[in-house]
Amino acid sequence: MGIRMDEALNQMSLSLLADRCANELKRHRRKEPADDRFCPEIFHRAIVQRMDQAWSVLQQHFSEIVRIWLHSHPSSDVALLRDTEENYVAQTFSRFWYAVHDQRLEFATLNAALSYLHATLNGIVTDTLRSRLRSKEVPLPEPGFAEEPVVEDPIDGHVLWDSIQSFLPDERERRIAYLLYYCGLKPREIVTRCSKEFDDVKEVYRLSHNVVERLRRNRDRLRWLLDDEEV
Amino acid sequence: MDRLHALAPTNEELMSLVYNEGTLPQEEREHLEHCPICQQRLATYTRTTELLRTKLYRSLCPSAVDLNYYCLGGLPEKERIGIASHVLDCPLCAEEVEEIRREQASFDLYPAAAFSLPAAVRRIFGTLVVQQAQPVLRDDLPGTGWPRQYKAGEIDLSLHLSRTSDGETMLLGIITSTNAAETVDAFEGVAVDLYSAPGPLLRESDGEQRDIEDATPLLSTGVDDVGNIFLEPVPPGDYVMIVHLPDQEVVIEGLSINHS
Repeated sequence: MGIRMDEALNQMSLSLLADRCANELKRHRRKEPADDRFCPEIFHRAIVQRMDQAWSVLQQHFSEIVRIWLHSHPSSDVALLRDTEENYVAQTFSRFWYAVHDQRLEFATLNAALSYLHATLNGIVTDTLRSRLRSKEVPLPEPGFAEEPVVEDPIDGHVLWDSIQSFLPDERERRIAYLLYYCGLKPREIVTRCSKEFDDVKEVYRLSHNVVERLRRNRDRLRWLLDDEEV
Repeated sequence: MDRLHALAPTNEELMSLVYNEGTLPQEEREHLEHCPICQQRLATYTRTTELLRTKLYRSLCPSAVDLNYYCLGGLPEKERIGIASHVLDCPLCAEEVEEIRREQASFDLYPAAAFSLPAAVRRIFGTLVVQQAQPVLRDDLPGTGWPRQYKAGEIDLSLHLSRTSDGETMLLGIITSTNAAETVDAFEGVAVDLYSAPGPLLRESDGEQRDIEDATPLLSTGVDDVGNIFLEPVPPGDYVMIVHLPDQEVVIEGLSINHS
């Protein structure tokens, strides 16, 4: 019986599948029991079988729900200042596509597929907010000024961190460097948020001074690593 | 750089100024204002700190998309272990993971259609006007007899029942506006749908309405150029009528029609 149903599902036309999927989705949204076979089949055809039409149907049917998720995100107002609703929706489907292909994921249920789609959108919004915070750390200089950033090939973050660690022999200095520069925490924030590791702000100031001095002693290498003349 | 003057700020004090967290005693502040060496020290520490924070901030953190996948358990083992190890080191990612997990546990994947167009249209429910001129028969409850007159904002809607030559019931209406600036032909072409009750709107126990998206009307028509509405044939039953005006929907509920 199960095999016959699977076969029937496999042979179902995409348009019929799309109709059934739309009804399935409506029932879910009304919190009514739904037959969870049709939407996962569209995901299967779009992702595993790589049918372009199925991917179009998938985007068509789930774009609205992604849009609603976006607007219900607690930071949607800030996120929508950085990019348009259309771009967030498009990025969500695009990133989702690459992720499920890379990881060879297949979804047995609609819940599983939508959880992954929602995780993608949520991550994209948070990454946008992170980049906003990063740009707030130091405002960009005016165009034409000497400090205007140039396009450069970034050095792998882990290689850079390994080099910085090699300049800092003391383990606590390495930890402070990580919390100050990689996490962007201020000394008092470190004492508050990492109180088990550091409970004295004066010690944090002392260690941060040691770190700056040690890095400056290695500024020739650091300049090359950071591709910056200002060290 | 060591402290060269008894009133010069210590290295720790300078670092507190770099992060805008400290204040100097009066004498040290005055010293700093006049000492180019101390000013140079402060400027150097500030510049180096700002540069490092700008270049390195969260550059070791996994993307928030990967953190979300990690929380769903949707990453390969190697990446999962890498992120788990990073989360132990990074208080910011640890906080994000906690927040993502909390949200994933309670998130409604199937939200109601809060942004669908029909829900965004202003909806007015017509109220039945008890007409003094109409005789109310002993067995008729107010609101159950015909013809009926409804009012919805500036809109007046009269509804009558009639019979076709085939003996079918026909629902006739005429729509007018109390707004003198609006002519009767303003309603020409306006769509009118008749649904079997409860229609496309459900009143929930808390009094809220929600749309039934796949409800299809039993009969549909358009208002003609003098404001008339004709719907036929109407079988016995309970109905809801919706008049789709350009900026609002007029909903008439409780239309009970029987052939007797």
